[in-house]
Amino acid sequence: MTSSPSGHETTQSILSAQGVQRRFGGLTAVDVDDFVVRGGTITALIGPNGAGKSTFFNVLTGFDRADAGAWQLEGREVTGLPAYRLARQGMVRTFQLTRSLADLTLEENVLLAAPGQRGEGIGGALFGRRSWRRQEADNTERAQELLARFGLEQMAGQPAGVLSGGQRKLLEMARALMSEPRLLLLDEPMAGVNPRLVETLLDHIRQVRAEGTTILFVEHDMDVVADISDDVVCMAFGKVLATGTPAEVMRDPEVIDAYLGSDEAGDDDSARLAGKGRQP
Amino acid sequence: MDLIAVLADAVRAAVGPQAAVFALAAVGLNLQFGYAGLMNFGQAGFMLVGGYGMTVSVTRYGAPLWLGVLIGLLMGFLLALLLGVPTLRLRGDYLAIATIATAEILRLLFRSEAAAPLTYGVFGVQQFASGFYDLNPFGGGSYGIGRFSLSGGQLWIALVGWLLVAAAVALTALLVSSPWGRVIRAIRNDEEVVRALGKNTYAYKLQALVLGGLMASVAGMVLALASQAVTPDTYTADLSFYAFAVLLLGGVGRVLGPVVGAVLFWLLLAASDSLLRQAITSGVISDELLSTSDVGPIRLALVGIALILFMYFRAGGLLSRRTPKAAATAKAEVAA
Ligand SMILES: Nc1ncnc2c1ncn2[C@@H]1O[C@H](COP(=O)(O)OP(=O)(O)O)[C@@H](O)[C@H]1O
Ligand SMILES: [Mg+2]
Repeated sequence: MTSSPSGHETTQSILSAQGVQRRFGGLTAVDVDDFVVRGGTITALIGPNGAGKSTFFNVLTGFDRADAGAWQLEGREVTGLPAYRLARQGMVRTFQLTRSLADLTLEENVLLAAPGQRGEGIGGALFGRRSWRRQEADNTERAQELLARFGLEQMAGQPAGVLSGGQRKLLEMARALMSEPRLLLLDEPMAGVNPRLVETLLDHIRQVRAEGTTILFVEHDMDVVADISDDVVCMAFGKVLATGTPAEVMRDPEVIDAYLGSDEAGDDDSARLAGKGRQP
Repeated sequence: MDLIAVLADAVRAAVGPQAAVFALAAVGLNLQFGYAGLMNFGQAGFMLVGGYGMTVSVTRYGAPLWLGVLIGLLMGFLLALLLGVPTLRLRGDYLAIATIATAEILRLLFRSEAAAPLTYGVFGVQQFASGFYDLNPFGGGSYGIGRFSLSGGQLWIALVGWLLVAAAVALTALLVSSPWGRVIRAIRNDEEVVRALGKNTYAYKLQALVLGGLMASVAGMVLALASQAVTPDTYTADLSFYAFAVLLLGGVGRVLGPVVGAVLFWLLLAASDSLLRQAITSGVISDELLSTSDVGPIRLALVGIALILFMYFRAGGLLSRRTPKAAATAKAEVAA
């Protein structure tokens, strides 16, 4: 049923998972036998709504518990670690419904993600003022650079609550990058944004890969996926149907049957972008 | 009617030890609720264990006052752990329920017959604070001008109370302006985002609960010293709600909000109290309509009305800082 990405065995996996299951009562939302993300790639996780993609993300990143299974990050066993520890190990996620910290300024949003800030402990905050201020100065410089990269520098001092939906997506990405992730997991980053911003986001994602960060992202739009991803994993009913290059996966009859061949294919783009594609 | 007397009563209450007690409890609540977003409806419980912890160890076990204070703090710390450890991993409402219930259970427990050998039962214990007033550097005289004066003892406890408020405010100011403060403010916004960025949000919430609880325990001790009494029914749920009222009046999530709120709260309470009593005794309000015994609840109703007016006209409290209009309308171009 599943197969390792064919012809790519030379590259090391950054994330691998075996036998991961998550059940909600009688429903098995996730049942993934074998899953691999190769380091340095952009890997797309596709599948119709309700396939279990978000649940799988949540389990891998410690936001939901698994009923069975094991997973490793860069060869380290990380099964069942709490979310904050996984993030510190370099696996950082964003959410399907964009979440900005509305009362914090854009700059504070990004600064919050800086790793190793000593002033985040009570002791350090009170007695290491000079030390954390120095760190803060360096971090602020990087935060400004990141905000500028995403075109948000002019709003750095404003509360994130004033941002539009698209700007929030950009802020969320800037914030995630501030934490210097090794693996960035994006849950439907392109959902509900206008086509022009989709192009912007794709450019940013390519740029992130070029800087050496691996990306795993959930997406509905097959054109987008074919265009940008190195590897594609297709899920349906909690299981992995196919794994491979975009072309391989899109040729797979099971995938066509479960996903492309359904009425989904006839949907217009915006409906799929908005993530409300399939009526089963 | 003697309006100077009304003013004197109001001012005395606003600078007195009671206002300091409320300010302390509200500074703690501000850290918990105003910054970290924790719904603690049990500040009265923290005040109770602080007050009793100190008093019981002094009166029952002959501990020196400083040791009593440490024991009061320890009790506050343990109560915070008891409330926070099981609930802070869950949704926010669990903490709210646990705090309000535990505070009330503590009060009932402390007033029960079974606990009386330790807690002195319903009537509590009085006149135990000579150790504290022996330290009074002001002597027995009267301080201030005319009717705006306090006795030496009152001045002493008020001074200690307000110094403690200053310390708590300074600690809050240092913390909330640090990266630690940024994390707890972010937790109030959206805890999951903060977890996704590698922070142990559970530990942060527990820290905020403990710090705020310790401040309330200190408030309980100041209250016990000021009134020279601990009685279980001082620590009803009303007290927890007053802490919220003080915070809302002054400004949630503003460092000085609780101080301003406590002063305002006592100004309103004492002025309306004094005014109503005078109006009744001088016959301005007929005693068929209102007797002096009705004053207690009515002055609270007046504070309630003030609170409602505040919520309406100045939702963030007296020290609210509105988002600048420019910020709400400005739209930066999204770079293509
Ligand atoms: N907390 C939950 N409780 C019960 N069922 C859930 C829960 N979360 C997800 N599900 C179910 O699990 C399945 C997978 O959902 P999800 O992971 O959100 O799919 P996707 O992200 O691929 O659209 C769906 O049938 C959904 O209804
Ligand atoms: Mg989803």
